[in-house]
Amino acid sequence: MKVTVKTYGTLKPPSAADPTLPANEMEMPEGTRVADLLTRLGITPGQGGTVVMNGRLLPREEELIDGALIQVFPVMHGG
Amino acid sequence: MKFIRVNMSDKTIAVEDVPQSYLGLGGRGLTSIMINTEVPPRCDPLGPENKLIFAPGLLTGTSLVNTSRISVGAKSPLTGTIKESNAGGTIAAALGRLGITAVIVEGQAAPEELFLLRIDEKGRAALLPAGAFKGMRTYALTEKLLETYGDKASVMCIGPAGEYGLKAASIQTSDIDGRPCRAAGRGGLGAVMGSKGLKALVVDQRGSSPDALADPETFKESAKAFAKAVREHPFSGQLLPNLGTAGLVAPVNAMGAFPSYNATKGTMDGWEKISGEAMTQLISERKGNPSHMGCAQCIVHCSNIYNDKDGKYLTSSLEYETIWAMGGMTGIDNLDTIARLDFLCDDIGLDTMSTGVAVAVAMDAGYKKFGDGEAAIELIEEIAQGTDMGRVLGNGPTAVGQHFNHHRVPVVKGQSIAAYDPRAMQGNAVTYATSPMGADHSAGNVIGEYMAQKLDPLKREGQVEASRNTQIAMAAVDCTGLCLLASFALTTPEGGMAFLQAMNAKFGTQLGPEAIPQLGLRVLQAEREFNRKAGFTNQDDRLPEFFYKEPLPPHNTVVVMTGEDMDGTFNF
Repeated sequence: MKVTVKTYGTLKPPSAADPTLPANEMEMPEGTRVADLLTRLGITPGQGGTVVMNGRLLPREEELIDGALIQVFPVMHGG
Repeated sequence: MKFIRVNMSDKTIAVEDVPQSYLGLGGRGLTSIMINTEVPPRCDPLGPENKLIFAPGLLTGTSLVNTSRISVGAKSPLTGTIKESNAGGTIAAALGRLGITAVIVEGQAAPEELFLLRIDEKGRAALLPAGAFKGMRTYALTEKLLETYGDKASVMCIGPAGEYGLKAASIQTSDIDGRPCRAAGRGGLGAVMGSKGLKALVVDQRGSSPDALADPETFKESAKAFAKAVREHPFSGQLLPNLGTAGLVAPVNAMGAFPSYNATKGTMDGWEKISGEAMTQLISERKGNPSHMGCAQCIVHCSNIYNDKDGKYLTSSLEYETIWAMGGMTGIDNLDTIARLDFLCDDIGLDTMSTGVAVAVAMDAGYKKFGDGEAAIELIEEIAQGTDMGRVLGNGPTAVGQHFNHHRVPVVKGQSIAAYDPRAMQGNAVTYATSPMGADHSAGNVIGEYMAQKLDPLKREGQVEASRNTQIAMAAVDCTGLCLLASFALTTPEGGMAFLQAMNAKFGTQLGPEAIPQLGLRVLQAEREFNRKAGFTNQDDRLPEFFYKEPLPPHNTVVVMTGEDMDGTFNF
């Protein structure tokens, strides 16, 4: 499946993981979970990453949906 | 450890050792416990019985990094509650280096009188006539004061808004570069300062008589370990130096929790234009500084210097809450306009949050159009000019709502909410409703729990506990002088231990980790007690009705937290 992935803050863009794909587009196998996406983006569990799909915060075990807009953020706190 | 008590009625100054009952207190703990002890709860906030207290934190004035916050406390004219508003800059460290635990301003000067309080490098305090500065804006005033008292002075001052006694008036304070761009913004404490007849506090930074450390060697080691923890934390070590707090614009919009167009939508159209990412790029292109050191002893550098298109200084520091209030709430998607509004508020001495929300309420009521940046600039200039509409706006969102008979006023206890809509972040609904300060962004903000996937922001479960724990932690942090933005290093084992060790090494104590929440509880209890005596009840710990009735797109949720939830938050 294809998803659009946008990264923010200090995170590297998806093209850093796979420079052959167009910007912000990623090919993932069906059943890919949030945790797999974070690994693919090179985000370690220690760094932490927050994933929002179509406006909804996703837990790590949740599966991604084909064609979704996925936004990935470093963990932030209130200020 | 000394208090400087300044009586504005008879112009006397008394220096006293800190009495036993206040020992071990600093920052918010000291201001709140002192107000609860010494200020009549039902007094007029702008009358002689109120006290305005400036207190550096317990660790301010030491070599520990990021401990340069100053707490300013009083009964608030905006909320009618107890208030602590804190700011960065250099003045807290200046007071700490002089061993001054608090400056307490009491009484009231005659209406035509205006003074400044100067504290020199030996810690000697004097009240000096300041009539010549009447009506002056803060940038011009600060420049003049630094010319007179030297560039080693720190300034804390009010602008025209404080002199008019407006409820959204801030107290501005100088940063490392001597600009009055840091603010104790919330709660209208600038009006309290104005009511006392005090235009400015000027403190020499060259003091060399800080309180002694009980164990200097251990302190040095723990300070080093704490600095390492702050640098290594991804938030304070990586994100904030790059994007500042403006980094929050993107995730909060993505989560549908960015109150926009006076809290009628949770995502702003075109938010990408005012995001932290866009801001950082623009600042770099214009040779500003996206990673500026604003406060004494800061190693985080979340501040920025924002230049205009010609490369000239426009403002510092453009922060998340300001971008939201002046941008999201008003629908203004132009960073230059937002930066201009930020500068104007600093210069006039206004809280950017209350002022931005006041403008948004006026727009929502049909007085001006959402997104009209020129209109917003004109409205804020009206506040400085003291026109009738300027006074309505300068008294904050509630006054604007009353003026236009408009129902959608996003405040709790008179103070505007912050940049997180309570319908899309239910834990912040609890904090806004129950904080003794009124709605507030730094008294118990739960967003970190959501981003770390510990809690679902839209569900009721777990929100009360998250709000309670965060409120307790923040009340404790605010006692120490530690910046909230560096405080997340406390959540790592190394950072938490180093900080506790530093506290023990300063005071010669053997405090365990439980001492920190205990301190927070003590502060909250004193604040709640004051509010009860001032006439507040559980019924005041509620959000405005529209948050329960008007669904917020895109999630189309309302606040689901019940009155019982709110009443059970402070179960201690």
